[in-house]
Amino acid sequence: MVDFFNGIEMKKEDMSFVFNLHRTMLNHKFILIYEGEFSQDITKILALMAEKKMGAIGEESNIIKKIFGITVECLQNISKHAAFPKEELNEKSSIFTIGRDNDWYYISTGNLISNPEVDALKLHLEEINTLTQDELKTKFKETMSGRPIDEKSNCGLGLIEIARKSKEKLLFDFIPFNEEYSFFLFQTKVKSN
Amino acid sequence: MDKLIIEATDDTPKIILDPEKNLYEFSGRSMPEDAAEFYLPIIQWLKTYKESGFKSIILDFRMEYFNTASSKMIWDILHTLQGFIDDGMKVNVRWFYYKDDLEMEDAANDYSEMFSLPIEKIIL
Amino acid sequence: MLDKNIKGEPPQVEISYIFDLHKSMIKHKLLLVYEGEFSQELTTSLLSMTEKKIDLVGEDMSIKRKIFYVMMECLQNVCKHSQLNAEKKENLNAIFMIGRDENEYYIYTGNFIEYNEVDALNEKLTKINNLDEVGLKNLYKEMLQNSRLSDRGGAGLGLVDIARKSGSKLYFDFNPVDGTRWFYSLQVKINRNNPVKNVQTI
Repeated sequence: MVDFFNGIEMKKEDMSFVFNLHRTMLNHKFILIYEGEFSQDITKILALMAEKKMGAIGEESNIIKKIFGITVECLQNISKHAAFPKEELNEKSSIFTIGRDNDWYYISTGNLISNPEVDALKLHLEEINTLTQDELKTKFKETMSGRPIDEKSNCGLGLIEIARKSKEKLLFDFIPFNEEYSFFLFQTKVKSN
Repeated sequence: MDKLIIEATDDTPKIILDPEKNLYEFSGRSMPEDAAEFYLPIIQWLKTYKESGFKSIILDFRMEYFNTASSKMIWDILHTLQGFIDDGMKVNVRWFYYKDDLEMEDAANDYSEMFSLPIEKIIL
Repeated sequence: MLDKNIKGEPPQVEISYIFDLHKSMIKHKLLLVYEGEFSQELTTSLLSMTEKKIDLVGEDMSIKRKIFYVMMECLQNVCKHSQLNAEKKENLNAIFMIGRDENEYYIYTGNFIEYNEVDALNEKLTKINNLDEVGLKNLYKEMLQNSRLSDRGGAGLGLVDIARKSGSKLYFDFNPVDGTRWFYSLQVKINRNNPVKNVQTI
């Protein structure tokens, strides 16, 4: 594991780890990093912040809209589906990042999900990755006209929409955490013009 | 019949459903946490509108962005309107979007392919 | 560690990096980390998210008030520096973190400042750290009388107040970035175990 604090204990009065962390983030071309709990409020502000930042660097409006849309879907997926273990408060954190390298924007998320949900999510993602843009469109329309929406889900529309916007394969991984939970890593990318 | 006006917030659109002015319009951004909670009263209003004996409606969409949960609810609204047509009501949907807004154009195309009710695309 | 079955180009921003980053943060008991640009709206959101987190553990009201106060001042300082830099189209990213262990809350900020601000800020922070409670109170009053509104951040009034409210020394660091900019890091600690101490008014 890469320790982003370079092994420096935060309690020490040596403050250089704040700079180290910042520098590491800049080196890895992160535009925005948020780690903590997620809510609708945080979703709104992070999406707007991403939009503002892309605008400031002169990105094209359709790319900005894509990033905005993907950001909202990613964050709402986390705030609706992330599992929150009760035992250890700190472990409830999820992570969201936007990075930019050369011509690509990378949007990544990480959050705990409960183990019984892993298989279904994995199947859903694998299926999406086998579909062409036309098939994704059909799948989106089928899903939309399917069963009525319930408050907690959007029937998997979010990930299909992300794949449609990104036009690239979705990258994901499930890392076993304990008997109850796994850590779900997800990444999508968007080409800048 | 009472009008339904909902002011825009930073995650919900402005809703105008006003029989007196004959103005029916959704505009802005839609990304609520619970899309069903926001849109179900609107669908209910439309049903009451029909039951009150109104014979036609022109519904304008002037959306800038909506999340997938909202897209499902907009589908539900169009589905409801489609039902009105089948019952003999005259329904027109006008979908306004900016020329370079590919996302909103695509969304209009998606919906057009799913319903026989007329969805007129109007470029701003 | 990555699922090798996934086809496609390996990303430049490695997905496993995200997990390492997350683990680092958990390991260091951070409740919330934000790196990016700052704004007034963001400040409000970070505050309410922190409030939610603190409420969950049923923290004492006076501790909660202190955390809020210190966060607000710290975030506003960062905001002011971000906005100032905006005119120059430079990288505006700053960092904010809050962590907690059994005994203390730790609030961190890091942001760019101009090289010619370093000496004055260093002096100000050192001066604050050399004062006791009474000394800080006097300095605060003195600064209230003498500061000009045009001074950014009320001429360090915020820092004096942070020191008074937190009841702890301010830990800080300056690192050169390039010819004109330095990176300024600040840590403020708030003790969880003596809630009544240091609640004072002028």
